[in-house]
Amino acid sequence: MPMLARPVSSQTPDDETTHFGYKTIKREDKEKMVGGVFSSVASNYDLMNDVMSMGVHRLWKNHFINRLDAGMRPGSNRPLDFLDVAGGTGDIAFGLLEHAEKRFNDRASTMTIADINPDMLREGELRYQSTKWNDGSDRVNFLVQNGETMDQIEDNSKDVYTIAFGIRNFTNIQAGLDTAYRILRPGGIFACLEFSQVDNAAIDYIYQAYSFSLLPLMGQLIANDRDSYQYLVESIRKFPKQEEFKGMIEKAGFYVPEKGYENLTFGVASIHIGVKL
Amino acid sequence: MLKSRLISVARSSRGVTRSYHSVDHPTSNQIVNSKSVESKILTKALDYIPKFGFESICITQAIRDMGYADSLESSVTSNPIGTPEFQLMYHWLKVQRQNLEQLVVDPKSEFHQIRDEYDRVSYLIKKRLEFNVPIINKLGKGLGQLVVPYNINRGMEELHNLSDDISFYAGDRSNDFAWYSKRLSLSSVYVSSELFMLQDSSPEFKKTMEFVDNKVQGINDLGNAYNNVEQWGLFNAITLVNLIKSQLLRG
Repeated sequence: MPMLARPVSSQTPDDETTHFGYKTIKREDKEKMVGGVFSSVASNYDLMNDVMSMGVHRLWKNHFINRLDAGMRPGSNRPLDFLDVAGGTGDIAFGLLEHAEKRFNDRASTMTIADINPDMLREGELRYQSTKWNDGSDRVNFLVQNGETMDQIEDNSKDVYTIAFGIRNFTNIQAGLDTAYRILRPGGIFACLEFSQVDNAAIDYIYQAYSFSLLPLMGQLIANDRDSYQYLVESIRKFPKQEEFKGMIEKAGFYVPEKGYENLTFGVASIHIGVKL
Repeated sequence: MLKSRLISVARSSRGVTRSYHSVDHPTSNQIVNSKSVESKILTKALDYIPKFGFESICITQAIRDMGYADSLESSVTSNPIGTPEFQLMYHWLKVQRQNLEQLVVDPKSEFHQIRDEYDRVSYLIKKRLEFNVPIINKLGKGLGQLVVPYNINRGMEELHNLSDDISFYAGDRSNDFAWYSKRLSLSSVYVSSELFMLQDSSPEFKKTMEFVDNKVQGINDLGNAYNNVEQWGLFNAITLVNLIKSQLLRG
């Protein structure tokens, strides 16, 4: 008879286990395994993103940056401190800086790009060498950091915390949100762009069919790495729904404005906002 | 019992909003949620409208007044309902609608001396237009936000909410097609009066106020005309039936 209970308990992670896509693994292993995934996709990460999302991820990121509309406004007495977590290749970070300069003529705000994976971060640093931000002003710096602890970043030291397509890889998402709350100053913004759940059943069917059958195949053909892309697809499915994730942001202490999130492309991705007051 | 069951109140986590007027709870109509952070920022930003107009700099100034860094501005810009400029306009409209409600709810208000429904309507429209006076020079650009295709739905909704409020406060109890025609004609009166006001240079907007009176009188006349035509039509229809009946009886 204990057999009956077992399938349920082995699917729900307890204190010692967590999800790795659809697999249930030990908590201490997830960091390493996710690390493995991203180390193996680092070099052709953006190419794969383009292929898999048919270029839409660039639109999402652009929209994300425009919605945030962050930057030091003219007449302000203090530049802002940005932190882009899981920022790896730096597209969000450089996009934010570009936006702030274009819109507000902000050339003083600083940017910290943190990623747990040194391989991904190296991609970003490599790219940084050839950008205009590499002007000796030292506004941009790179940090290898675990998003759940951020032990090198002080309390109340950042103004804008962004994380794009990164938070679902955290072993403990709630700990990541709590840390975001810790390091933000009052008035600081937590902004997250992440895959989410499609709310329309018909579109969801097509989306699921596409992501479960085609994506791993593309991963195999283009990057010769089926398992990593299988993981990406499964982890998207495992990530909490919009309302649930909004609840987690509130639980960390953030104030969530009226609507709380914005769905992009029928909810394939969504933008979540939290305010530390 | 039935009444209490009919009152279905949409409860959000931050207060009560309803989409209709309750006779039993006259002060429960919450138009602006004064507790939410965005609405605090926007309400503060309204103070800067006479100076800057409906521009995002009002929001920036409000945030600085509240002692926060510019980063807080993202809490407004990230709202998918529209640009900060539009949100400022939208919030302004709601605050003015709320002010109008407070005027009606106040037992000492001179509004309660007016008995006739149409006089009440024109009194309320004129009061609402008076709220425009301090920002009249900036209003045109703000109104422009409302007719941008992306915003037009919310702009129209807010306009019809206003005419619904006015009809309700004026004592409209119609429950037939007149319910719709009254509100639609009030909306058109309000919009045309507001546009008239933008061009009006007479002292204390006297011409605008006359314009409102004439327009509302027009609705009243139209309503009377409609009723007369309806009565005349009914009379003739009955006569016709009777005529046919009598002809049939004669064989």
